[in-house]
Amino acid sequence: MTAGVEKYIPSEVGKDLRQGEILSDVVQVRLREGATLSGPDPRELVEVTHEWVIIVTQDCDLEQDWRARAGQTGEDKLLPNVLLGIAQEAGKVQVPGKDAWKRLQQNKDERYQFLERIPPRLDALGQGVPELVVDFKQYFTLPTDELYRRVKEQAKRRSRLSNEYLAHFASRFSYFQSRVALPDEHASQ
Amino acid sequence: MSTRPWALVLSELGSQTSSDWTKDALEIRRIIGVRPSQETGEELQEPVSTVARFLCHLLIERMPDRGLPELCQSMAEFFEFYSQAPSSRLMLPGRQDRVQGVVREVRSTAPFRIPED
Repeated sequence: MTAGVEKYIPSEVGKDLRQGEILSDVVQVRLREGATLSGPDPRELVEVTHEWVIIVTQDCDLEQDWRARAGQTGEDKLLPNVLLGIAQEAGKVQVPGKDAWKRLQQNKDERYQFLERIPPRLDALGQGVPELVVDFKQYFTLPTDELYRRVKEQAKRRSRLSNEYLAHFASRFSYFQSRVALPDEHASQ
Repeated sequence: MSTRPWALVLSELGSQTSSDWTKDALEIRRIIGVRPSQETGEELQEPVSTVARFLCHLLIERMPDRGLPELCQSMAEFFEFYSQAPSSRLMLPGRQDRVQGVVREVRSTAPFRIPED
């Protein structure tokens, strides 16, 4: 592997959201478990603050959506929602042992993506981002217009994966989602 | 009817300036751009649409006779498709109803627990 390759590019605030972009402090509002689904009473909600998320939605779809919002292309290009993968600071992840951690850290565990730390100079906030772990089983969506509002007011756009590192992340995510469920494993004699 | 090769027709089209196109479009619009049933005050067609109609008429006028049956068939299919298509937006947004909500709980992401196997 080439030494010194930049794996990240600072986020460009005021431009379109990008696939592989890391955001911090994103709030997701959802119905509280057991809340009434209909009727005149107010719906009970939960606000979940995600310290770190990474955008999974396809890059060209985000670009076309941005242009559609600016009136430069047809409304059929608008994306109603953006897919976000939940990430967590690697130091906070509870691992069962060193072997499991090593497998995860080397991106050998198909369910997780390990992301190395982002130096302050590649973080749009200039603070740097710690090592992160993305769990491909944990994701959610936010309405696109809401996410653009949130990154203006409270959530923060930090950095995005560059070139091959974005392709690696996107490829591993799609592989995990498209894996085939077998009724039973192959037996070994 | 002229039966010149396509390349000649296309090169002739390409040699026209935008000013020529506008003049031609306006002229053609006077002839074909207004539908017989169009009423006074009704919105006229978009200029882009008018130019496209003009181009189509020009091409049809110069189409060799042997291509006409196929052309008619294709145009009939296009006409059938577009006269039935609701709009360019294939997926319409779902119904929206405003409801009141109240935040009862604030929490952060649950910690990841990596399984052993």
